[in-house]
Amino acid sequence: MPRPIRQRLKTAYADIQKYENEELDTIPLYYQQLFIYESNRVNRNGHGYGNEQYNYDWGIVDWTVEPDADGKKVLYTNTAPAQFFEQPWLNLGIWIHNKVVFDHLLVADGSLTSFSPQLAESYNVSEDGMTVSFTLRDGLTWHDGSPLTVEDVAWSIKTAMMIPTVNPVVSNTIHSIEGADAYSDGSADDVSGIALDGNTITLTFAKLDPNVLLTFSQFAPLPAKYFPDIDPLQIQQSSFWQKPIGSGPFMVKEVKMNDFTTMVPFPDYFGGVAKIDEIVAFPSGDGDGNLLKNAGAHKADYGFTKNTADVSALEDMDFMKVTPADIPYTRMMWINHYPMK
Amino acid sequence: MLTYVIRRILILIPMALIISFLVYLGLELTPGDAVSHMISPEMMASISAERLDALRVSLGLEQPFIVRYWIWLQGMLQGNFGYSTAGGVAIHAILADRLPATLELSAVALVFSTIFGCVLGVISALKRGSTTDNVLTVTGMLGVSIPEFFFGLVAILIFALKLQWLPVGGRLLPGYDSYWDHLPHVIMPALVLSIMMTAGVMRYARSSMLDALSKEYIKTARSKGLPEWRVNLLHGFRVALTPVIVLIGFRLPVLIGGSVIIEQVFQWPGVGSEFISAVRSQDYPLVMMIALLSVMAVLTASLLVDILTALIDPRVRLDK
Amino acid sequence: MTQDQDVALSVKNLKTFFYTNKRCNKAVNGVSFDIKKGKTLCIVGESGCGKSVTASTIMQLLPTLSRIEEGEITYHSENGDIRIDQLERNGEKMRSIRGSEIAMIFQDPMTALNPVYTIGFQISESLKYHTDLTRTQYKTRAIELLRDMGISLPESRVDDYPHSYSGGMRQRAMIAMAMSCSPKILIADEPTTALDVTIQAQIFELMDTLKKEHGTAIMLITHDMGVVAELADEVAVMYMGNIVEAGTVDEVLRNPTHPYTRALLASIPVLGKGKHQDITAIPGSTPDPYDRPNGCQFADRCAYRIDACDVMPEETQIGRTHRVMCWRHEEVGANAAE
Ligand SMILES: Nc1ncnc2c1ncn2[C@@H]1O[C@H](COP(=O)(O)OP(=O)(O)OP(=O)(O)O)[C@@H](O)[C@H]1O
Ligand code: SF4
Ligand SMILES: [Mg+2]
Repeated sequence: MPRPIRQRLKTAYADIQKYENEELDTIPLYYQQLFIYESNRVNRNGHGYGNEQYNYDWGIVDWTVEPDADGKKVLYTNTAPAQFFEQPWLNLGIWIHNKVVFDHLLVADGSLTSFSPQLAESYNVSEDGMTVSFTLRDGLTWHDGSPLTVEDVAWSIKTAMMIPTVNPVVSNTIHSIEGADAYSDGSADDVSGIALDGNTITLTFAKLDPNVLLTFSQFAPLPAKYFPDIDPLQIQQSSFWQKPIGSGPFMVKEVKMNDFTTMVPFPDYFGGVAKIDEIVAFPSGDGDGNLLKNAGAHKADYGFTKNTADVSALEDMDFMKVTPADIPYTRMMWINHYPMK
Repeated sequence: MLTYVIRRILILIPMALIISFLVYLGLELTPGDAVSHMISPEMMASISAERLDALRVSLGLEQPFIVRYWIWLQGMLQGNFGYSTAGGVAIHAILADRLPATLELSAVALVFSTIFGCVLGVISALKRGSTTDNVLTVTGMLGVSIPEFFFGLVAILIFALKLQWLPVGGRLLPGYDSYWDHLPHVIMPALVLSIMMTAGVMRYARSSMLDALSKEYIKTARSKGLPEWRVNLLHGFRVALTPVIVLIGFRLPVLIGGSVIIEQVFQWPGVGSEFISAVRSQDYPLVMMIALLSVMAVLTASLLVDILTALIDPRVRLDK
Repeated sequence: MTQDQDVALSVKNLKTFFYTNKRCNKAVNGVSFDIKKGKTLCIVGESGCGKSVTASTIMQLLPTLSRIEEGEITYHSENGDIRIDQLERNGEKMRSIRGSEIAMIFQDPMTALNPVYTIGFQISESLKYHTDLTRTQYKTRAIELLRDMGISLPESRVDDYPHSYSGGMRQRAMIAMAMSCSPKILIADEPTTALDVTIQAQIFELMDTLKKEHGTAIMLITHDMGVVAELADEVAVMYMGNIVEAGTVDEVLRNPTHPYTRALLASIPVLGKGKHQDITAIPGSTPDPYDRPNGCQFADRCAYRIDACDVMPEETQIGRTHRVMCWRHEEVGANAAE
């Protein structure tokens, strides 16, 4: 795209966002539906459903699956990688590894509106909303056993400031941190708005961001030591993404790119060891062309889709259950709403 | 013959250059680039141009087309296949991972289709006009005209979903320990590919065989009092073999490039399915490498066919 | 049945029909002749009259859609008579006769040799199935045969492929192949049509020598009356599946008693008669083989035709060896004597 056009689009987009925010009450809110499918082998053991495209409090640790002939509880799903694991800051909850391999500071409820601590033991938002601090749980470790520290969190936030391949909500939040711009344009060596103290990280914001808590329920810290001297722009090109190491309830065990990925419970998970013995994920994007085939062969125990044709076919399989979930969503067409100059 | 082979190999170089340039150009002309694939359109609007450009620079995408091509070419000449733009994985590593899968599938299909195609084609020709011939001919026509994906899906429906004898797709399963453990996975895609390929070879072998059998030298061979098997095989099939070899030879590239459709249908992690996703994500270095490999495979196969034909058919001379 | 001692093969009332698209072509419709040891029988006739089919029938090399309807083919072998017409087509017995007792050479040496095997290999195939020679002896024998057939440098040419042979050399190689097991009968189906004139003469000379030296009985199929005059001991003239006239060369050429034989002789220039010869082409053309006239097959083109000719003429023996199929052979014969 030629730059002047992009510039205009950008300005227009910003204008629209501003308008949206001002007129929030009057803007119709659309719902798109998303469908969560589960085979009858799966039991969520009381945990509810939510906006599956994001990370929410779904209680995967408590899930159970009917054991197979060998007595092993294996959950089959999709969204495994074809060539590399996508870094988790872009498509926040699409990939299975985003959901189970990486944990977040906070955890959201199914509608992504209220939040509670996850990696954080506690968090605090100042009265004016301009200062937010998170205190990490004691003794957190990465899957490789090394400690998960506030330095990792700070490094992750700073790295995400440098790259464009970050979800806009997250990007917006971290660029609202004081000193973010100076850091990302290279004029400062550090971000003045990030302060570490023991197990606590405190973020000071330059502008108020309403989505801070949402962001930190979706933004996964990464283990900094695996990215020494990395050009942040090249983060996705790191070999780390062939078999990533996270802090979530499951850790990656075996990867056959474009064939399958297996994940097994992380024995030191602070929330308890997951009851499912193994997750086997087959490669797909968020639309899975092989979904019906795999479901028919009992190789799709859990997943979500927006494809209504798939949904009705899944509903016809008596061993599959489909649960619709609403995703609040605004998408409008603006006509002649901004100056043409 | 040796000079001919050397000359043909030397010709491969400019051809590969031209073709690689055309592929690069083709990629350049498709809208968007690797970055626009990495970032969704919604996000694109909220990201500053500088940041996007910085990402492009870091991926080496900011240079003019011709410069990028030149850099790529230099890398190739130094034996550096480069890295996938999207995931940064070394391309030789990706290929080393995918080629065995493709080879496994294609080699089975190639061997199977060659043997069965020839045998059935010859039987069909020898029993020309009989019920066997008619059945084989109709089957062959179906085999050639039914699209691979349809045949593959029907096979999945029957053997994987209804009968549940075989897995729906994929190559390996977690917990496999030996090659034989994943045999069930290769059976269906290999057979589907084989049957499709067999049908072609069979039709070709049949008509080629009929052609050979109608030749006067067959009558000569009989007039010498030779037994029928010798007449049909040594005199008929031996001559009929040449065009069949050509057909099979031109299929050799499938060993490298894979059968894109079959790999897609059976979720087979081979070169073919890798190629599709690389094209989708405009992963230039990966697309280029696979395209180049396939082109080289095609060119090599045609050279191989020429040499084989010359070995089989003394009338063909290569040293001109 | 009285049989000459020197008859190698006799054909009696042979009928070979073709069946295509449910229609019947009586390609050979009752022919009888003998092939004698050390003699050449020439079979002449227009294209399509059934010469090749007759030859193929004797060798049992007919295509699948044709069969012997009637008649006898008897091969008088050293160990007694063999009824070829009763043998299984590609059975063991038939195969043991082919190539070793009766051999055949074909019209076009370009297509009759397999392009992918050396001449030596193709000769040794016959030796393998009909002689006790060992593998190493094949080659020596092949070289010997090629040398006998007048091929220079046979030691190196034996390993050549047919495509490097000239047309004449290929036909020599074919003859070498045919003669490799010293057959009693050699059937040559227009062996020189594809070759140029000087080569033709050489090939015929070669065949004549073989006949004389080995006492081979030869059945030579040709269109060429000149060749007949030159080589034949006996002649059979065929028209539309019948032998319309047969006899010794003298009888047939000097005293033709069938209008077709006469027309055939009038249609060819004779060497030595000078430029201004009376050459008359035979008027009209052969009838549709699937829709033949009921009576004399030649009737539509015959100047002598009378009403009686609507009935098939019977074969008349007009001399000890001379026979003819024509209602008016006496008038025709008298005419010829003028
Ligand atoms: N393979 C065949 N299938 C069907 N009909 C055939 C076949 N071979 C010969 N005929 C028919 O048999 C008849 C005799 O043919 P034949 O080949 O014996 O003629 P010919 O005398 O050898 O002619 P030419 O001088 O052209 O070789 C013809 O009507 C021909 O159409
Ligand atoms: S039978 Fe009659 S038509 Fe036939 S050749 Fe004799 S005269 Fe002519
Ligand atoms: Mg003929």
